[in-house]
Amino acid sequence: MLRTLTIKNFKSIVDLTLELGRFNVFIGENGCGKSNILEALGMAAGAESARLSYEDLMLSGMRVAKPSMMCNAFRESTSTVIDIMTGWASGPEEVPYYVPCFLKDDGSRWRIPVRPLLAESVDSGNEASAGAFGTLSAGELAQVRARTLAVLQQDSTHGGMARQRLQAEEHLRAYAIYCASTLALRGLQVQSRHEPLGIYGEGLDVAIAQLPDALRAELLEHARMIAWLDDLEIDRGGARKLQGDKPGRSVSELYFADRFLSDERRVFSAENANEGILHVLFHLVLFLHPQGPRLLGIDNIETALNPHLLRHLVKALAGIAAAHDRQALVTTHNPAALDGLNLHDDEQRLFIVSRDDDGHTQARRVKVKPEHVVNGAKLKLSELWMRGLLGGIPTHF
Amino acid sequence: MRVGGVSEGWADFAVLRNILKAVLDLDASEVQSIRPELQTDETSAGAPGARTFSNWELVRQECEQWAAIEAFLDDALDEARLVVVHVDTAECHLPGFGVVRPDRAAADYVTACHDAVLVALRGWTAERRSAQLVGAVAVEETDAWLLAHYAPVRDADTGALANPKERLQRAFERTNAVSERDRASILRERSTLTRYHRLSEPLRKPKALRAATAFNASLARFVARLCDAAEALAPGTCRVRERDT
Repeated sequence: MLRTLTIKNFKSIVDLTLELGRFNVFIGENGCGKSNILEALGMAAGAESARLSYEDLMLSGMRVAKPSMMCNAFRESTSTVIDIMTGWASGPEEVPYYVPCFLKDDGSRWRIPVRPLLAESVDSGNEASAGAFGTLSAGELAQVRARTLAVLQQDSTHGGMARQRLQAEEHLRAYAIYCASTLALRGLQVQSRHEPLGIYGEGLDVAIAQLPDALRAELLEHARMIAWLDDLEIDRGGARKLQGDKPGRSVSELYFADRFLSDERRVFSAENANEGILHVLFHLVLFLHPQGPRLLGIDNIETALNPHLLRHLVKALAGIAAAHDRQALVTTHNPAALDGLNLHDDEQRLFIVSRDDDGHTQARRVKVKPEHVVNGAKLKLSELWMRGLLGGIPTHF
Repeated sequence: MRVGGVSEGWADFAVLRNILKAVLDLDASEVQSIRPELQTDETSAGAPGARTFSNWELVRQECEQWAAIEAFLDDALDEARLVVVHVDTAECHLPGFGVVRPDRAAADYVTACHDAVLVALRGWTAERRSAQLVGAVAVEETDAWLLAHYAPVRDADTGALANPKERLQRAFERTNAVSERDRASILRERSTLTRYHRLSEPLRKPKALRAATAFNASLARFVARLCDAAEALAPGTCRVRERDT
């Protein structure tokens, strides 16, 4: 699991280190740099898989800009290198091992340096040496990685490390930033072909259809936080469409059964469903699907959700993340999301993101004292935030 | 560390925030005004006693009612927190303040007045959470603290000078320490918070703040108390007792 994330010289972040848990929520005013934290990891993922074209970055949920605008543009800044260090460990107490990532802005494109660990194993005469910036295509990078791992795996002292590292890199490469869109969830718009679920929710019906029975039952159990939901149905043969149950443009084969409606008219299509159920299902499937990303970013989780529904969704996702080995970095502007977090669980973490007096993004983890130390009545986390007692609110009105 | 402020108005809060930068290296995002509140719901905004408004009576009320201060110092959060309570002494003679103003002609007027108001302020808070509460008593107005920086001739305690607001205005209009462009822009600024933030910006530097404390005893006492309280909560946080690097 990703335990530490150090970001240097990326957008509004000059130098920031985060100690992460399994379920991490970031709050702060608009433009403070929450999404930049998620995107820094996206850059590291892009570098890891040598997928840094505008198209690749957009498909992983990044807001794309030319390289010189991705490095921070503060007056005093002259560096053209983005430095993102990820530290991985299975438990919070374990000493993390690090996967470095450097990206050099080479005018209009990124150059990926050969990392020191890989460079140790490549033949002398290779185009890059440790610490120097060489340019590798995706194919070349894959070759170098395969050769390096082969060398390391033969070495008894480094074999375990190689396997751990391989897994970390795999998790990093699969990282994407998800941001649910109602049109995509209704099957009315397809922008992303990410598997098993598009970054805006494309292919929700297919992803649900792929779930094994046990996971589908778990999905339904959680989704019943929506009071009217009785069941989900995938119209595999297209019979419902032929019956005229989906007269619109939607390509989604997902249908819902409403427990309050009469038997003859209780099933309706995703195109006709309310937004809340679609957004809830999207997040649940993202965390439950066996081929879903182990590490993911979610931008604006609150979209289309009633505050109390959001609270329960956050609680459910934090639980699923622990049970199914998922790790998430989540941004929100809705205080109710905070009430779904249990900050007494060290794996659930809340960060306040803000800009310091120089405009640089900073992040502060909110910690709570052990329950037995706290006396008297206290406010809910959502109330603390709304009152401004946590920070992370705009002050320039 | 996070610091909350209970003050008589936005001008005072702006000055306190810059002093907190010098003393504890806190950014604006780490300092919050508890009273006046930055915003309330629009439905309540026009109601009498709206939390977006403040004066010394409301500072007293806030201290006595305690709920907002207690909420800021929430037991549950594992974070060093302080609350600075600010009052001017300009109106300390008014009924309800609980102070008999010392003789203005006395040589120790500034410190005597400061101490008397500090005692009254401690009475308002009933000494609750005293380790996390720091009194900021300005004799006679917070403008006198700024005057300790801007006064062309600094040879007496600026707290003892009459009409500090007007004196500050004159001193600022004449100082060579700011460009004509900045001076005009600051004087034109309509937001009280922003105008006083910019006026007190020099006090963000420990060296300038330390120099100002030499000419205003009430400022010096506040800074000393702030340092003591912060050091007790989080050792090593006070910057003004170190040598400038």
